[in-house]
Amino acid sequence: MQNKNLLNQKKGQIGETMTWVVATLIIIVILFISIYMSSLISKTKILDSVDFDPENLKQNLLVKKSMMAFVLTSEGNLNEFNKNLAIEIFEKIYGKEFYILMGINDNLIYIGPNPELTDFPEEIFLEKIKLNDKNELNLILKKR
Amino acid sequence: MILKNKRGAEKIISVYWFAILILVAGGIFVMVANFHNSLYDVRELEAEIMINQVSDCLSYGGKLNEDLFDENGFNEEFKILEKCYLNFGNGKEEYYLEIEFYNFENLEESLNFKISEGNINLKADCEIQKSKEYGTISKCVEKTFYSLDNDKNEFFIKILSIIRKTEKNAK
Amino acid sequence: MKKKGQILVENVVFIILNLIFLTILILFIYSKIGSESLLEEKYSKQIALLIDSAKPGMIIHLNMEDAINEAKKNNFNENIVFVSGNTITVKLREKGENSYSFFNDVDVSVYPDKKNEDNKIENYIIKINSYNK
Repeated sequence: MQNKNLLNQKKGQIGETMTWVVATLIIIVILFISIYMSSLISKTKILDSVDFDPENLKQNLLVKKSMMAFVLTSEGNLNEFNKNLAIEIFEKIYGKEFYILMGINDNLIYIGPNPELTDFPEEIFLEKIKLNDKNELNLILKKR
Repeated sequence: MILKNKRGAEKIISVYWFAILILVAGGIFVMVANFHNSLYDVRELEAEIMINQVSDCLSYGGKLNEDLFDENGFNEEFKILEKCYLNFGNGKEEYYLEIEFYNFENLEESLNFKISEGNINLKADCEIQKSKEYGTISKCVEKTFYSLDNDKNEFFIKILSIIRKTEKNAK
Repeated sequence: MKKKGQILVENVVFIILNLIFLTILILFIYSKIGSESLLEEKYSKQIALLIDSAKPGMIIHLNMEDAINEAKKNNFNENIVFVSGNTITVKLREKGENSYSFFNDVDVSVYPDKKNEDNKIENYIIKINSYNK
């Protein structure tokens, strides 16, 4: 009888230790995950200009310069959009990285390839140049 | 006998509990130190700002700066640091700036005119960055734009800006 | 009965030690969050980039209320921002500062703005005077 009691007591002690071993392992795993997460979060300290854009649409000085030169090259024809020249210029510079929407006022067309029907790219850059009282040249770049 | 066993087990657990507390505290310490010791890396922003300033200097209203040209074509004496009011510091080791002019017909074909200033050795870091981003080497930004000269000749201009400053931006 | 008393005291001591431990941990985290070195780094880089983007004639008003308050807590009553050559330095305490260089070759003046209605300085003024030479 006494031997049986002793056996029962030993089992109880082993059971308790096993609980703590498992708990320790879980705590260590959670700690490692948290430390890894904190190192990922510290990577948000690497800043580029996209981080400072509240409305998801931003200006681009170099796009604007290219548009100014494009207007000059269009030789004063400010009422019609010169699509071929736009392809020559903007598709070469931005075509690899962006879908390009361009045109006068709301008549925007894709310069180069159109996005797929299932693709909804976010707009990244928007630039405008006022051509005259009625017309405005618009260019939108959408990330591929 | 049973009571003695219980007290013994509880004392072992208390020591163990403090060991776990120290482990958790150590983990929190590492997390906080990890986040706060890492620096803000603003080099990409800085490189973009440099490109904007240089492009403003090279081209205005769609036309290239007249000082880029002389009677024979491109002006080889064009000093970008003086003309565009840039100061790379005494050592000039932390920056590299390169401007190349390209044929309008073919963006891959560079014309025989290149302006560069700074530490050219930093260019090697750009190749490494293409395969994988490392914080501890220089940051490179390259942008292209289109412009005309006074005779309405068309050019593509590529500006490459590289900033090292690793001690201040990456640990 | 004695044994019951011992268990209670042990548990109370145990809980108190845990609380002390947690308090020390929380104080450490709290001190790190409001750290001056983080503010010094943030503002030195921000001002350097502002100067890089600017042109002569521009005057920039920058709200530095948090940095000014931090300097006051450290009993640091001098100017917290100063320019030397093409380097901006932000200093919020006696021992320690953060500097960052800018590439725009301009002459810059940085000084505190006038006090607001509550007689406190909130902003610093960054004035881009002219190009050097």
